[in-house]
Amino acid sequence: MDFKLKKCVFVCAAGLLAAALPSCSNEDEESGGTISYGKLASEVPPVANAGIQFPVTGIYHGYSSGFGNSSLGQAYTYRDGRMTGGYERLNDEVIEITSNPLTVRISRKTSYVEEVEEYKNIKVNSDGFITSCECEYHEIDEDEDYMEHCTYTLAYDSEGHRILEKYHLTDVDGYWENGTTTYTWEDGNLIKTEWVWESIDDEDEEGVDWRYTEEMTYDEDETRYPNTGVWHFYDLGAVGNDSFYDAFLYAGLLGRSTKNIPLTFKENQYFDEDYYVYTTTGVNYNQDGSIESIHSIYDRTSSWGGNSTGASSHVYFRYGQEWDEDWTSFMSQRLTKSLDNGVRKPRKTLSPRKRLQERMAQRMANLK
Amino acid sequence: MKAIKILFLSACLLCGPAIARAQFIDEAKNALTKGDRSTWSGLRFSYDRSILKSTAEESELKQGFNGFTLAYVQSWSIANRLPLFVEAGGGLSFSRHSFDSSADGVTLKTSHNLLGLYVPANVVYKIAINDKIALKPYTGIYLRLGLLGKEKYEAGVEGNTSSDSYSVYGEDGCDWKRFQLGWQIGVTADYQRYNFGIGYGIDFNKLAPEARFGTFSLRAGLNF
Repeated sequence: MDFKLKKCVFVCAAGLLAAALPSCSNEDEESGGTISYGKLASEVPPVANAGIQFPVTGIYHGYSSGFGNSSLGQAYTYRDGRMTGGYERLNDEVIEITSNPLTVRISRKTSYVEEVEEYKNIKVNSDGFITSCECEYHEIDEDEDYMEHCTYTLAYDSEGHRILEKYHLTDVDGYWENGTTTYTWEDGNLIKTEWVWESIDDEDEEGVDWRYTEEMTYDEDETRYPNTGVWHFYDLGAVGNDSFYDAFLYAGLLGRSTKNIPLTFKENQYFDEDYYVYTTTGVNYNQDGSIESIHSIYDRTSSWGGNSTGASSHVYFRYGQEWDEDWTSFMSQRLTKSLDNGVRKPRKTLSPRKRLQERMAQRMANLK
Repeated sequence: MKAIKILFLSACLLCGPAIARAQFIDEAKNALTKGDRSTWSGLRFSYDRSILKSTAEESELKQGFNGFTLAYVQSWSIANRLPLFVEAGGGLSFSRHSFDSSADGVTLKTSHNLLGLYVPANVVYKIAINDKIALKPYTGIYLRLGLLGKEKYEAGVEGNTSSDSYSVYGEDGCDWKRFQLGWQIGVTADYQRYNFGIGYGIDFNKLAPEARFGTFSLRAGLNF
């Protein structure tokens, strides 16, 4: 009896050990492969940390040459070399940056709906570049409070270039999306961005894999087209995926930009077999060395329709503009216009996949 | 919460039949008050699986730590007629979390190593099954004092890497809390001089900004 009892006890102990071993597996997989690491940021870093020589206050884009033919895409404000806020035209959004701890709040408010996304628990490396953060998005209208949550993990090389970005997004309806973007750099220049992601499709609820790539080439002459710290080369979409607002790039929160402006830029969506190929035709510089404008032509093959060859695109940069920091008033004027037109924009989202689709749709709308 | 519910149900399932049996055997003599009030002391070793979970709404962000605790415990009888005890002690606990990610030649490795003092104080009810086996459901609080805590990371591609290492306690931007107070529940079983058990504990206060610890433990020990 004693022997049997003893045997039973040791079998139980072995069972406990066996139960313990599987639990050693990586729990982080449950948050889509993302992780929180780095030091909690108290404020935005000086933009100079990211090699930005001239803080950009306005980015404009047009399909015809000449600043007068372009329209404002993004506007940013700074104080003591650090970004304090901004505005994005695409969704008429106000960007507010607060300190202690650092949070970035992006909001859009109309008579129909209030949308707020807040980046918090922002952790950074010694340069002040984001290593991880969380974001909550709320859409509040008369009927519901819709919510999405996203976690991000990023990594940088020794030169301060973003080389890895992972995200995990969920919403209150059970949708999820996991993505990984790798950035390949050579001699200080970004030569390839590869973004793969999987998600539950809205309709059939099956996992869907997507892929998006960007490839850049540069002049062999490293002194040609030096980059003083901009991220928009061809239109109002910055290079890289759409996980973060472009304001994060110009705030110096996502590492350094390329050493040079690319000569060519190819954007490819494998899933839709869409691609754009841009070729830089010229970069103009101001007297102080800052970039005044980047001009290009592009070929497009698109499943959205409207293939084109040799169309032109122009991006203009402005510095030192004294924007009225009363963004609420600024926005109010814009929203009045929007309401007068009877336009209710679709729900914004944290989903980079959906943002990419939105960007494509916006491009097509601009072209028509 | 799910783990707590499972543990509670497990404790009920384990304790229910045992109580019934004890009452059946020693009903007349009130066996629960006879011969079960002997105290114990001993060493306890536990495998700890801790989850540092974000407290943000709807967040699924969590980091799993593996670790162990080695502690000495002492018990005191606190009731004249019931086999009810207070068990307290102290020991060292170590836990580690590591994360490796590799995609297209880009790697990211992070790790957290925590070493701390662990001071539990539990109320234990001892249910003797027979002369050799006793069940001991318990609940109580614990104090954990962080002695050392280090976070490291390394990221890069083919030799072009960035890395850093720093204390999670006290450094600017790393204001993890050294003192953690928590609640725990579980059940152990004595077999002769040996002790085995399971337990779950959760911190009252946040360990890191926007994150709280919960720990599942498997225990083995020796009574003196």
